[in-house]
Amino acid sequence: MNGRQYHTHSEFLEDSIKNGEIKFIIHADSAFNKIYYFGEFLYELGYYFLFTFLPLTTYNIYFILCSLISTLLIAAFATLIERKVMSSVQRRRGPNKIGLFGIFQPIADGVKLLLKEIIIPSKADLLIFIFTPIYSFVLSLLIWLFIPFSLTTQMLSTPLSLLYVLAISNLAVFGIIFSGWSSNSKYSFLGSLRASSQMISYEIAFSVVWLIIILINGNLDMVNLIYFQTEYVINFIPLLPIYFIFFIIILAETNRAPFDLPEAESELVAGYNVEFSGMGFAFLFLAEYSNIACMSAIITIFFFSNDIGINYLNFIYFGLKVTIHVIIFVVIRATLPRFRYDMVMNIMWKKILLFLIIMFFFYFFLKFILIYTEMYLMLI
Amino acid sequence: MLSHKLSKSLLRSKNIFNAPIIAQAAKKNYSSQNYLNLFQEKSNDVKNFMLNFGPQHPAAHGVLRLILELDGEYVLNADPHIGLLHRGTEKFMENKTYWQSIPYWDRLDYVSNMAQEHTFVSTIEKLLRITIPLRARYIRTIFLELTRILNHLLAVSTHALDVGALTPLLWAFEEREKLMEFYERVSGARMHCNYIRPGGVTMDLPIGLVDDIHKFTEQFSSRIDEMEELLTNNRIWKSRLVDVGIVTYRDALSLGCSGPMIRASGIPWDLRKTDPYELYEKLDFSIPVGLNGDCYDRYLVRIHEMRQSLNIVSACLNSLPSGLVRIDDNKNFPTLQTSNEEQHGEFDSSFQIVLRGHSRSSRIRLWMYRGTKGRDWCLYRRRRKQQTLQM
Repeated sequence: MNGRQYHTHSEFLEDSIKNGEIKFIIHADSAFNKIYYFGEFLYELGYYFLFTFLPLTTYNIYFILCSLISTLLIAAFATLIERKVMSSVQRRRGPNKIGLFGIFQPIADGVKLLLKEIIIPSKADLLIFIFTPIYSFVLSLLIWLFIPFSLTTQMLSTPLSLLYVLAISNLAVFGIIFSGWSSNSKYSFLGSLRASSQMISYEIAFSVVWLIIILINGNLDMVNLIYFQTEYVINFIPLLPIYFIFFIIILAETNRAPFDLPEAESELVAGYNVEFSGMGFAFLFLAEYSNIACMSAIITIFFFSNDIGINYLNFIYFGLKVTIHVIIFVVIRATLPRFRYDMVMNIMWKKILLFLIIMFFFYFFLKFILIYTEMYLMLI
Repeated sequence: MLSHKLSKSLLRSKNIFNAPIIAQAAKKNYSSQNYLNLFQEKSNDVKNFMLNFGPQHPAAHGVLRLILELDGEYVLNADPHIGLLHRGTEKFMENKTYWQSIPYWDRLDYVSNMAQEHTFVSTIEKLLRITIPLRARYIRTIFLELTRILNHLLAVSTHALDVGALTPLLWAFEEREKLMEFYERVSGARMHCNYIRPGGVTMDLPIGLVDDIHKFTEQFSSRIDEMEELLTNNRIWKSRLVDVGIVTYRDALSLGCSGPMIRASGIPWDLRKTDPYELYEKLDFSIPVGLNGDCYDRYLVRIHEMRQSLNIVSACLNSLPSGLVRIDDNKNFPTLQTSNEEQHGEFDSSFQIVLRGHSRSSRIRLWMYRGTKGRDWCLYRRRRKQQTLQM
């Protein structure tokens, strides 16, 4: 600046501090620097995601909008399926007044909840209380983004779709913790405690199943699963025991009967969503059913996803399989009593996890042997 | 040092709001460490979770309030607040004649109405030394056993609901609805029927009712089978019930249990056998007895008792005699058809009884007994004067 020659960098720095050109120095080891670089890392990650999303969104924006609306409808009509199947099990009619066979009942319920007063408890943590339903609802919609409905039909595609779905599904716990904590009620707090510990425990087994699927699949792309199963054989046959275990885990993960302790109406009136009303309740409710439908979709992709070839029929075929799984969910709810809390934990830690780890190593060595002895050539 | 110890001990005594004493004690050695101790001791004092399991709770069924002390999922302490069903019935009944107070007995236990009436009515009959006609006894036995089914259905199915099985409740209430329809056809009211009266029953069975009860008994055992398919051998149901809430043989005797409670604990004690009333001496039925006295045994006892009651009902239906359904004595069974003036003329000695039933001035000791839940009802009244109860 002033025409002086600097021999070292530090000299330059000192001088520029004296002149007031530099306000502060960030050392390489300082906390700020670490945060800065982490921020940069996030920025890059964001860039990466942007470049995966952006070209697709520009082409598929209408498709994504339609799909998001349709997922909303799936969640809404999952409630209708539940009420209808439950009623037929229990020898009663169920909703049958609005539309043919009560087909518009979920829409009427939605309108009713929309018009209801939103009651906020006086001691509730206002910000979190309002934020929670939106959070759970958005998450439950986001999870659908990368789920392929057939080989050619999906909203977005990335080679990491398995990882993405796992991550988002695990984030759903926070919604429940927040809702229980913020509403400042003992019942909802107990419900959220139960839900969070149950879901976190079952996520471990959930992830181990994920590992087995990734092991079989060979990469992290969900479409590859469909491709593999259409080409050779549906995973249900080689992974038969895993299917049943995975179904149990999903029941626990979505807080459904017989693991519906978080909302056990005989103990904790309605669990973590006691204090919510109006639209907040509707969002939580929709999120719950969207998760159920989503888990059914995941189990369908993992074990039953064979395409039939014709494009639109594929879509319907997939929907049919998902619906059957949702109905199984409901029938289980209508049939079984509830577990006690310690039993839920015991089943997970002592039985399911042990079994799954053994199965993981079994499939690992099976693949190892098949590859190294080149026996898979015989299979093909 | 001494003052420090003193102040510390004072702080430990949790009398932290007694500020002057602490201030005096800590005056000499007031440090930030002391102040910290105060807060630490307060925050280390972990309290258990207190939960109000109020009367307005789906599992409390409106009549029970518990204040629970929870340690995680364990209930350490329960403080029951009972008496929420108490509606001052006995005070009402003090100002009513015995005839007028029969409907109150329906409302005492609204799950097994006729059995409640029967306890009261049979006591009055004992006092008046009435023997009721045979057909009335048959009708009473049929409806007592139907009431037992009504009661046990609710007990089992709401138990299942509390454990988490939703469906048995709906199925059971379908059957209860049929039974309540029988109530309605025989008395005009679904629940609070006021059907059994001293000296017989209000009126004879309407035409076609016996056939319908017979149809009910034919299909009901398969309904119990369906419920049992969902529950009895279900592993979750068993794991929730077996070895839970054990009442031992000795406990059951010393606590004065009765009904399915005492039978599940292994004591074959049933008033229908030990102190038979109505027709039970003639009837052939068995009493189920449990082994362990846990919840599962109680459930099984109830299921088995329903099947036994079904046998009793069908046996009674098969040999239902014809004849009177109430005693042919207007002194003890005031008829509604006759006007007051007529009654005035006919009876002068027991004029009050005929007009309004037995008055409350006849204060006598009453024994009440056997509901479907096996309770021993006992209503004690002081013996005073008996002039209005001349036979």
